Amino acid sequence: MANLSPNYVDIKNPSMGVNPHHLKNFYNQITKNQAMLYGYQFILTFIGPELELFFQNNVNDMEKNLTYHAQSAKLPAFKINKAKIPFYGNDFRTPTVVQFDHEWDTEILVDQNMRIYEAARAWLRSYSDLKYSGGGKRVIPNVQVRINILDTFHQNFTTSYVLERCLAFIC
Amino acid sequence: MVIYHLIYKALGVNENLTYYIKSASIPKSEIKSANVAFLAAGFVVPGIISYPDEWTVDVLLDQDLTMYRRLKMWHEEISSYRLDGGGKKVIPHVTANVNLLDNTMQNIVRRYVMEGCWIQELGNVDFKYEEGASTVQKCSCKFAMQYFYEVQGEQDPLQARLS
Repeated sequence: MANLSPNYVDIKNPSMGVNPHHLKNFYNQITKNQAMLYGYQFILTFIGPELELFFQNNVNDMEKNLTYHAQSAKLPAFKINKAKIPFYGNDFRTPTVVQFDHEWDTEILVDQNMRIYEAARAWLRSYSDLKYSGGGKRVIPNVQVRINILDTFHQNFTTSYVLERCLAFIC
Repeated sequence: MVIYHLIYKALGVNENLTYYIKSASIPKSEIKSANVAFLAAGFVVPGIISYPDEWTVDVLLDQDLTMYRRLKMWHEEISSYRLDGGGKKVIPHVTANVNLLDNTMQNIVRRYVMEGCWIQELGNVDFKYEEGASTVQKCSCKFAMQYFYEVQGEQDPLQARLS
């Protein structure tokens, strides 16, 4: 039973009774050395042939450019499922397989001509349209969404998270 | 005033996490009951203790996502799409300690030790364009754990009971 507590030795650490963490350490550790991340430090990039077809993704035409119209983003959660292993009256929890959220949403600004909105609707209808009695393209498209995290100067990406094979969002 | 700090060991993440984690909780303990019927009356007798299997904290995010990346590395070591969901499927030797301080904030008066922690979920991070936003980004991090116990002074109650 003692083996269930492999870090038992640490508990016997003689320094246990003293708090080793103070404001000075916090100041040096985070606030002095690291710039923190704020909710506006991101840029979304949409890449894929289907997007070019529907949105004509052109940086010179801001009205058509999804990057400028998307106003929010969410870095999806990463989950690992767990399995219970009973032993006597207790359960132990072991990790199993990773699981991703398969949905992702963003808010899109709408212009008065609703060009972005209509383009998104057209993309949506390409998968299933009442004109075809619900028929349409039944493939996973080659579309990427990249969530680029910016540094505090808003000049460089520190990290980019790529969401692969995105299907049209719901309007 | 109750203050806590956390120490755990995995992939070189230990003391650093103490400064990045901004909230924690002491899990509940529950003893399951069993019903025993006798004549027309019912009696409730204690059964076996049960521990919550999850424990969640909030992690501060810096612009380089230092801690987020390390936690994600740990996550991928357990199960990764690159390995078709495979990875280390063991209960790791990781403990999380919630230390309660006295009002001088110098001495640890009580420690709660959570045994066999592994990262189960790294939560969403929500981004939004906001004028004058001044809130530092956080993300929740859920750990699976096996059981926990309280240590007071330098005595480990689990070991004391066994001896």
